[in-house]
Amino acid sequence: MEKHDIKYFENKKQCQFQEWYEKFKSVTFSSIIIPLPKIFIDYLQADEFTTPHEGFPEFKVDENDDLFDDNNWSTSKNHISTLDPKYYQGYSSDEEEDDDDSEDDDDVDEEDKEDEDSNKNKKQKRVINESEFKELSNQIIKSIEKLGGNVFPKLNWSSPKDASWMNVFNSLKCTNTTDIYLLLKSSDFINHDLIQFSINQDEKDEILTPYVLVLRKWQNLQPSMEFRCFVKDNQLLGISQRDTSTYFKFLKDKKQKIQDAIIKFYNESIHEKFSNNSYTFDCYVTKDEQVWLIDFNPIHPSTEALLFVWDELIPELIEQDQDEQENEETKQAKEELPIEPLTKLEFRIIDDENGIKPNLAITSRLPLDLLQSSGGTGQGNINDLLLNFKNQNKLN
Amino acid sequence: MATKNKTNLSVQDVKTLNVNELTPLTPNVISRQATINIGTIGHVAHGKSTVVKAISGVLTVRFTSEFKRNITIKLGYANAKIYKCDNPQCERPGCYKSARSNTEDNPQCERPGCGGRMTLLRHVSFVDCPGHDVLMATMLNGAAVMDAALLLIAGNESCPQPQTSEHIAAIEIMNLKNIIILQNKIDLVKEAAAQEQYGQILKFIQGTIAESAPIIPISAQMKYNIDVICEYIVKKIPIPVRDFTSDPRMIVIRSFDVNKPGSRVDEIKGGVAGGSILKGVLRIGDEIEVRPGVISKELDGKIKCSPIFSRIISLFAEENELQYAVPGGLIGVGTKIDPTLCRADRLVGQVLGSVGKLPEIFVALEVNFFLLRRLLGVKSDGDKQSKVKKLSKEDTLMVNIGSTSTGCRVVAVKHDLAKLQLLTPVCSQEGEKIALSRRVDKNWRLIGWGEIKKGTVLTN
Repeated sequence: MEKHDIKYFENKKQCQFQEWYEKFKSVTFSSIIIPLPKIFIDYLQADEFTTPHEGFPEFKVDENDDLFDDNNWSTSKNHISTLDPKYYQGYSSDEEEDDDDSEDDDDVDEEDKEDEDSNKNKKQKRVINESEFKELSNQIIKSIEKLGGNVFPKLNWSSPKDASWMNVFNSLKCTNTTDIYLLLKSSDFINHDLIQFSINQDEKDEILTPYVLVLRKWQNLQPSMEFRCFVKDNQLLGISQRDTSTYFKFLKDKKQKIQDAIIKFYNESIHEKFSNNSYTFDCYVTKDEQVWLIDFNPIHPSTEALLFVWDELIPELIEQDQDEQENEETKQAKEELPIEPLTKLEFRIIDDENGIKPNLAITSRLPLDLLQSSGGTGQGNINDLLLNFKNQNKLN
Repeated sequence: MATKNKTNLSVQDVKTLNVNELTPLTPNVISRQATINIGTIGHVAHGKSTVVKAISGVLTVRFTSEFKRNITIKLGYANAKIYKCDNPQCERPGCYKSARSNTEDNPQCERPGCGGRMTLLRHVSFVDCPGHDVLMATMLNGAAVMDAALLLIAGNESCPQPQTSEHIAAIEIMNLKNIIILQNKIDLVKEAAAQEQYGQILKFIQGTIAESAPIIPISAQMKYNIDVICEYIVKKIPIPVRDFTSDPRMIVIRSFDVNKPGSRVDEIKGGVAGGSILKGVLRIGDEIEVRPGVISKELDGKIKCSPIFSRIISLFAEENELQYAVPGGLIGVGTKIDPTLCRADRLVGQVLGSVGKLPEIFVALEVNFFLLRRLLGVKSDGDKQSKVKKLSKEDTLMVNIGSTSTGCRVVAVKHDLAKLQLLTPVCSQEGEKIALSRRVDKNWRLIGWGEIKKGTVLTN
């Protein structure tokens, strides 16, 4: 953990769902908290990712479709046969595909050695099957039913928003355990939660961890009406539109009404009730200006400041990074828009089409390798390889 | 979206539109939308967004998510109009000028005492690339989304800079033949140093795709030589060849619901889809189809997927309203689609086009695949790149097909063929390329490529 992470871990702990839900139950969406046993955390932590046939969505197709017929395969000999063996695995034309391993003898040796080095490694390599935590799955199924059949999942802090591509509805809507497991195992946001507590590897499978699975009643919320509020020393200091990738024209006219509703909600339901004096909370404003609490988040580098910059809200926490030279962009941005700490409540929305920001959650729709190559920070041979691939395509 | 037609922009009329006569320079078109896509390639620290800002006048966005004074800037799209002054007394390069996308088509020349009028020559869209992620995925599958690129090199560092060769490789991958090299931050160095670097750049690009690219010394910060960039965009970037006559097809890269909560039924505006038109022309009033469409769960537990049929109600490019839209830039399409279906980018990756003219919807694929030996990109723990494991039955993978990302289960593997069950249906066709990724060390990592041999078609 980085130094500021340790510094603010207490704040973070207070924002865990199970820490605040009971107290704020009447102003937030119905939810069920399920404590998670170690085996499930191990399952989430493992790279091993298989999904059984059951639960995976089945679509209506022609009865005569024979794609999955085991005896029905295309012939493939005529393509991409000249791929650079430096980059690509060969495959054996025999039924037993074993030639690949023998080519890489040196690697096998190395991996063996690594295994000997750490017993822990071996444990992590244990393959955990969904059938090994049936009891938990049953608990989840019952909870989904109780919440009306459609839920969205989260852990102590985060929801797997970045993994919505791994969901049949392209959202966080889940109707069964497979939906939930697919999202949780695919999400970097969930990973971020999973590094907050370390779990003793010697514990038994059934032992309960500090982690919880939260199932919340699914709501088809309008992103335009979600807001993040920043509270500093028990003073509501900032309100920001939460979906910063869209310009909602109507917000301008509604701004005052929304602000009044949020202030009233803050004073009546949140103020001095949360276990810290400085925090952020997300809320949803309904069409008749009723406000619902969505979540609490800590004043923490991992919390997005959205239309604010942290300098304005909590200037005393900003650390000047000594190693990093200010680049031209930073310098220019600062000259053009000097950062003034806020003293009274400010409500920010996106004012026009030019103000929209890219939706960062969408970046997780691509493998890491490609994301990194695009920023110019990737290293290694990806470009060679893409070129090689491109050239292959041309030949075909 | 509901901005009134600005009187200072050229009037478009669907009734008199003849698509056979359209070009990327048609005045009625470029008055309102960009028709040439220009990628910007370079390191943020080399002033990439400052350059785009200097040309387009669009304010860039700041991001500080950390408790650090380190501001990174992310661009999406930024459009700019490029003009030339009609007054023959107005000399080059000063007679070239750029302005915001909503600027009138014949503004007054700003040179003191000139009195001439400027003529609109080009309307370009700057795309932060590589980096605009959905487009990037499309590019992997061979779509040409960029017509040209600006390659940035910091003038105050020697060349080649660590990222530069990578950037050149990126240009080669995208098969971009039209490149303009910008030697930025020239104000920070002495002339001799700039000359020396110029020589280094020339030497460096020799034998690469960028070999014959012009090199312009600029200072985006001081707005020095921005007019030269404009002149080169006009003179050096060939007019792209576009297909205006085929059935239109657009990939959706954002979708949203703009309604005020509690709007009365008669006030409700349909959902909006923003995307990149690959071919054809979209017109207001067009009947359209979005594939694969809406996914719903039936009472019997079966999943249903129904393409969306709707009509185009409005079209816009940045703030400009359009009557018809052609390939180029990012186009917003206002539809009669139930807005709740468009909320929160739910249609991202889908394909919008004429009714009945889109590719099939597949729910399972047979692919010819080839796996990498080792993972690419960043190295994970240890010096050695991790080996890529073979595909095995029941593996859950990420699959990128066209502009779509989804999950899949491996159902069977034989030699270099695999059968995949898709988590969400995709609009695709046989022969299309796919990318396969697997969860490794808690990240999605590219493990290989494939080509669709056969698909199981969805029926309703």
